[in-house]
Amino acid sequence: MSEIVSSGDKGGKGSGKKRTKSSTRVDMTPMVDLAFLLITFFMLTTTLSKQQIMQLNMPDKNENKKDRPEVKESQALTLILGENDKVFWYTTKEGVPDFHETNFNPNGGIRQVLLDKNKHVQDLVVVIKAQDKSKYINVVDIIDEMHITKTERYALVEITKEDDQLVQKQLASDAAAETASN
Amino acid sequence: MAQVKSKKGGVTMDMTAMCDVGFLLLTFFILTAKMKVPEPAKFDVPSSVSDTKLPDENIIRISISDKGAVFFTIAEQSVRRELIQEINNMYKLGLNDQQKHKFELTETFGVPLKELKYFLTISDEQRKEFKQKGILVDSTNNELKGWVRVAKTINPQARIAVKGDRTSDYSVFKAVIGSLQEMNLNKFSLITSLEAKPSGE
Repeated sequence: MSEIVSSGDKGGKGSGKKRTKSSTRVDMTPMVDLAFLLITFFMLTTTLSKQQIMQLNMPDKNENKKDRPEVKESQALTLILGENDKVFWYTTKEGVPDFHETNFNPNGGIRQVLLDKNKHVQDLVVVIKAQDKSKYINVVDIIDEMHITKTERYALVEITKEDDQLVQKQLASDAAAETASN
Repeated sequence: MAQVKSKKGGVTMDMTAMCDVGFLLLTFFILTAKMKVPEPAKFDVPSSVSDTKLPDENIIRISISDKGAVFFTIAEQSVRRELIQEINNMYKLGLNDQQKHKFELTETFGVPLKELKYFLTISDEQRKEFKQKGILVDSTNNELKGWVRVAKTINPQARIAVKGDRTSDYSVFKAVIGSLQEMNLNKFSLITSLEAKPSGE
């Protein structure tokens, strides 16, 4: 500031005024354009970088088993997540499982099954079991499907040997069907 | 006529004020923008329809890389300072002040306790080359439990967030969740990226 004042004193008032008159105006349009472009960029990147979370509540392992609610056979739907994004699902009737294979296809995949079951079964309870070979994304996807189909009661539990065997059987029958068709 | 002529003579608007505001905002956004810390491994998170935002504070983040290595992240430096102090005493690692300070500055790490001392000794350039094996979560040697327990005692309000790579194996996730459940931690936040809700909902 002081420099400007001193230079003004040296040159006198008249010459200083003249200089400003002879258009020292710079066209600021490109500068403003650039500034706003950068603002937009920073605004978008700062707000979009915030990550989302999905809440997952697991059943208490130490809880007394007697306190757990009983689930009727007719209400339960078991999903098994297999390798290569496969999903197996079954309901049991008098102890005999009705086993099916499906996938994560949004049309006609597991979502359709869940929507159907939700319509026909009251208080549906979904039991999700993941095989060790399945990927993390499968787990997230299936919980996502629960949110999409508004299935409120679901639990992620450990897979049993029986379930593994059922999957093995299904895969074997698939392979047999494929060789037969060839 | 006179009006038209004056327009032809140049409609130069005074942009100075606009420019000032523009740069003011620009400075604000540049300063508030968080620098992205380079991550030690690939974490490509799956997408979900959930739209709850991840809070910035009080988070213990456990990340699972695509290779199945487990990483541990605490955002607050003050918590990390106490954490390394505690861990050093608990496991008798014998770290010096310089190594502890280095730990304070490391937001994300994934090394077994055995390698921690070496990891904190090497220079930043060497660290880039160093392959972090991940925190051990085996049933026999579960170091993750120790880290979480200490972090939880330092900051009891901390919530657990799990950030997994989409292609990581479920078995690792199961081991992480399992060891946390043994400590009576049953609520988790899975970090995901946003996906549009399917139409018709």
